[in-house]
Amino acid sequence: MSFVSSLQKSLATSKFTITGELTPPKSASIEDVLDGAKLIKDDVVATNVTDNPTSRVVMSTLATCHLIEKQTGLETIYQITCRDRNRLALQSDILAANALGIKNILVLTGDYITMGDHPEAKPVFDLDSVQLLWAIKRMQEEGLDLAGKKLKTPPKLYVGAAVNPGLDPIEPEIIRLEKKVAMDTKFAQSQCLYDPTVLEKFMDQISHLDVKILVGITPLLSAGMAKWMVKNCPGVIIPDEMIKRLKGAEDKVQEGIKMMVEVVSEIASMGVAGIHVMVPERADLVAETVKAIKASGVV
Amino acid sequence: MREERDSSPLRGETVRGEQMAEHLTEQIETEIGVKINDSYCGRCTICSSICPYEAISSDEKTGEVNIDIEKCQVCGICFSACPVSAIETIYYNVDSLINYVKKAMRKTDFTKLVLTCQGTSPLQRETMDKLKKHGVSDFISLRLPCVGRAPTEFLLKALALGINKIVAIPCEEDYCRFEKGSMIGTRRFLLTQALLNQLGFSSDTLTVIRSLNKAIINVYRCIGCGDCAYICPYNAIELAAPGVAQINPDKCSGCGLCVAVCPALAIELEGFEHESISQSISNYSSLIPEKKSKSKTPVILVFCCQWSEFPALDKNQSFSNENVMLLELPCSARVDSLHILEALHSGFDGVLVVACEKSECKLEKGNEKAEERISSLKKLLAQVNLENRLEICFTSPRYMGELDKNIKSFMERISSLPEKPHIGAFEK
Amino acid sequence: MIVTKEKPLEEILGFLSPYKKILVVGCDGCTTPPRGLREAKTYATLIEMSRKPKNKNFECKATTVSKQCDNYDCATTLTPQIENVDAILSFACGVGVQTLVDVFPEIPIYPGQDTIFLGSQDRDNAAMYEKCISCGDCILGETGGICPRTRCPKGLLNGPCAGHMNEKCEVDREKDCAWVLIYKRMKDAGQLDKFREFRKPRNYQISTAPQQIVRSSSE
Repeated sequence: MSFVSSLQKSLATSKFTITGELTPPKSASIEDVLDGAKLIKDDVVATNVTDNPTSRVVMSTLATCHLIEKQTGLETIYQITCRDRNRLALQSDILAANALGIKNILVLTGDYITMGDHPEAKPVFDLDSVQLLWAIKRMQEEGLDLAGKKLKTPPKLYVGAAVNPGLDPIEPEIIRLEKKVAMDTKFAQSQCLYDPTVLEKFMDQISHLDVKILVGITPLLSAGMAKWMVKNCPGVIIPDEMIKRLKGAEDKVQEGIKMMVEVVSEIASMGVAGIHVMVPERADLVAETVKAIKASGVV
Repeated sequence: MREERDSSPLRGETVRGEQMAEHLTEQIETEIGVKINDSYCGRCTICSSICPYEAISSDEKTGEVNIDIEKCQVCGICFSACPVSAIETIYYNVDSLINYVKKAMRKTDFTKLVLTCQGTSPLQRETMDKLKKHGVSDFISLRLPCVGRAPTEFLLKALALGINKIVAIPCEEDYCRFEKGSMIGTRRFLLTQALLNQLGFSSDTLTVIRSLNKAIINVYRCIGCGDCAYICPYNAIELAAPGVAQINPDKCSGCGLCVAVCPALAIELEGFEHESISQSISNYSSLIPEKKSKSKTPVILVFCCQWSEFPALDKNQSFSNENVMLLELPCSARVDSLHILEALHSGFDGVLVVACEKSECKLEKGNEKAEERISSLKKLLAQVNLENRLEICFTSPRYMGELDKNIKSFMERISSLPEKPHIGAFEK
Repeated sequence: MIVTKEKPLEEILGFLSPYKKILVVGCDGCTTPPRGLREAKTYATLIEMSRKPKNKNFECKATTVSKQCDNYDCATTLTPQIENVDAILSFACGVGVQTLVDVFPEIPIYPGQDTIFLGSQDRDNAAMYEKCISCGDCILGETGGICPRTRCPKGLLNGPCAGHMNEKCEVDREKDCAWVLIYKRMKDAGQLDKFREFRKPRNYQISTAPQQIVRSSSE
C-alpha cells in the first residue's frame, strides 16, 4: 500500500502516533523557528505548523512548512484556516503546498479576527472548514476546482480536521465531524484533554465514524494556567484534583508533564490513534513531554 | 403679570377669574407642613383612619395622636376632616383662605367661587363650558393642592361672606393624586349641600364638576412609532391602526410622559402645550438682557412639578426680584428636553427641574423618568460644555422652604461657572 | 428598522462650519430610535447655541420628512423650505442622506448619524438587535428561522465552530452562539436531518453592490 506521508503510514500501521506543533515566527527569517523544529524532530512523526494562530500575524504557514521540511527533514502538517483567505487564495495555497512537497493538511475554521493583534482587519471566512474540506475533496477525487474547472495535476494530500470532545452541547460537534468525515477527512486532532472520562464518552459517540483520532495533550505549567484555560478555552475540562496537585507541587512543570503521562496511559486503550502534543512557543517542552511519555512505557 | 389662558400653562390664571398674587401660607414657627395640636385633639382618631398614607398613629401608652411627617404627603385631608380643627397646616388654613376670598371680593365684586385642585388647573376649555352651563362665568378662582383639603368650616364662612355659589372641580376619583382627596372633597360638598338645603339655600349653591386633563394625539403628526404606547404607565395608549396611536381617555391620567417622549411632537396636554410653554419661555427671555444689565445674579428657569412644592407656586410666577421664572408641570415626567434647550439658547443661565422625592411620585414613577431624561440631556449638553447648567432636584412640601433652598444653591453653583460660552461652544 | 447612532456634535459642527443657513431634516420613517421632528429641533437648537454667538446672521431651522428614502416625498415636503439654505443636516439613515443628494444636487448634504444595521426592537430590554444583512439569498427556511450569516460573526454555514462556551459566541461572550440556537430550535422541531445537511459556500455575486431593482409599471 502506498502512503502519501509518514503520518499516514504511522496512523495506518503503528499502534500509537505522536505529532507535535510549532508556531511560525513573527519574523522575516526562518532561523527563528528552526531550533524548535530540530528539538522535536526525533520525537514526533510530523509537526503541525499553525496559521496566524489566535489571529496574530506570523510568517505564512506555507513557507514555514516548506523551509522546515527542507532544512530539518521534519515532516509538517500544513494548518490552514478560513479566516484570512477567500476561496481563490485557499485553493491556490493548497496547489502550492502540494507543489512544494507538503503532504499533510489540517483544515480549521480559525479564531475570529478580534482575538489577535490586528482587530480592525477584515475577517474573510469565505468558506467554512467543511466547505474547504469539500473543495479539497473535489480537487483530489475529481481533479476539479470549486468552479468545476479541470486541474492539470490534482493534489495528493493527507487531510485532517479538528474536533473538540468537551463542548456542550456535543451533538452539533459530532454532526460536524460526520460532515467532515463525509468530505474524506482521515484524521482529527482534538482540543487538549485532561479528563479521560470525557474522551471515553466521546469515542463511544463517534464509534460509527472511520477517522483517526489524535488526542490533544498540553501539560499544565501552573494552577494559574489551568484556571485560565478553564475560563477561556471552550471544551477544556480540568479535574479539580489536577489543579490541587499543581498548587502543591514544587516543580509545577514536572508535575504537569507527569499528569499528562497519566492521562495518556488511561486513554491509550480507548481506541485513539495517538496524541498531538502542543505547548505554544515552547518546543522544548513538547520534546520533554513526548520523551516522558515514551519513557514511561505507556505506549 | 396676567396672561391669556390659551398661552399660559401657569397656575390659576383664567380668562374670567382673577388669581391674586397673594401668599396663602401662614408664617408659623414650625417649618413642618402639617402638625397636630395636642391641646385641641379629642383623640377621636378620624384623622388616622382617613389618612391615605398611614402616616398618623396613636401612641399606645399616652394615646397621643401624631403625624409621621416623613410619610405624610401634606394632602390636608386630615386637616379638613378633623372635627375640632386640631390640625394645623402652614398651607391654606381656613383664615388665609377666607382672607383671600375677602380680598378678591373687594377687588372684583364677584360672588361666585371656583375651587380647583392642582390637578384640575389650568381649567380646560371643556370645564369652562361646563361652568358656563352652570351659569358661572365671572368667578373668583382659588386653587388648592387637593379639593379634599377644603374644610366645611371654610365653605360655610365663605357663604357667610356673601359668596352665593361655590363650584368644586376635583380630579376624577380614580385619578386623585392623594388617593382619597377627590372622593372626600366631593362627599363633603354633597353633605354640606344637603345641610344647606335644610337651611333654605338654593340647591345648586355647592356644585361639583369633575375634570381631568387628558393627553390628545394629533393623528396627522403621529408616525406610528409606538413609543408612547410602550411607555405609558397606565397602559392608556395603543396603536389602533398602522401609524396611528390612540389614547383611551378612561385610562389616561394626564401625566404628560407621552407628550415629552413623542418623537413627532404629536401629543399635547391642554395647558401644557409645546407652543404655549415655548411662548412663555420666549416672553420671559426678552426681559433677560435688562435683568442682566442690573445685576450679576444668574437668571434661571425652574420647571416645577406641581406636587413637589405648594407655597412657592402661590406666589406671583414671575419672581421678578429673584431672577427666577417658575413654570409648573402636571408631573416632572412632562419636562421637555426641547424646552430646556430653548431656555438655555434664549439666554437663561441655568435650568432647574424640581420633582417629587424618589418614592413619592403621584403619577407612577414620573420622577424617575424625568431623572433619566435629564441625565441623557446632560450628556448631549456636555458636547457644548453646558451640562452643569441643568440640574434636577427632589423635594416635598412637608418641610417649608425646600424649593427656595434648592433654587438658591443652584443659583450659587451657576454663578461660579465660567461665563456661558459665546464663541464656538464646542471648541476646546 | 434601520438602526442608527448619532454622530458626536463636534464632528457635525465640523462639517457645518462653512455654512450660514442650515436646515436640519428629520425622518419619520423606520429609523430607530425615531429621528423625527423632535430630533431635528434638538440638534437645530444645539447647533444654533454653538454658532449664533459668533455670527448673528446664522440660522438653523428644523423640519421633517415622512420618508427621506422617497425622492417624491423629499421633493414635495422640502422644496418650499429650501430657499437660501446652503447646507442640509440629515437625520435619516445613509439611504435618506443620499436620496436628498439626488433630489437637491446643488445643496451640500451631511449625515447626522452613522447607520449601523437592520434590526428588530426589543422593548423589554430597551435594545435593538441586528437580524439581517440583506444577502439576497435567504436561508431562514433551512436554519430554523435564525440567520447564521448575520448572527454568526464568521458567517458559517456548517457551524458551530468549536469556540462556543455556555452556548455563547467566542467573539462576544455576551452573545448567543447562533449555531447552538439553530441546533436547539431545529432539534425541538424534529428537523435534525435538515440540520445535518451540508450547506454549500455562499454566492457573493448576488449581493454585489450597488444593487437595483426596476419596478414594472403593471405592479
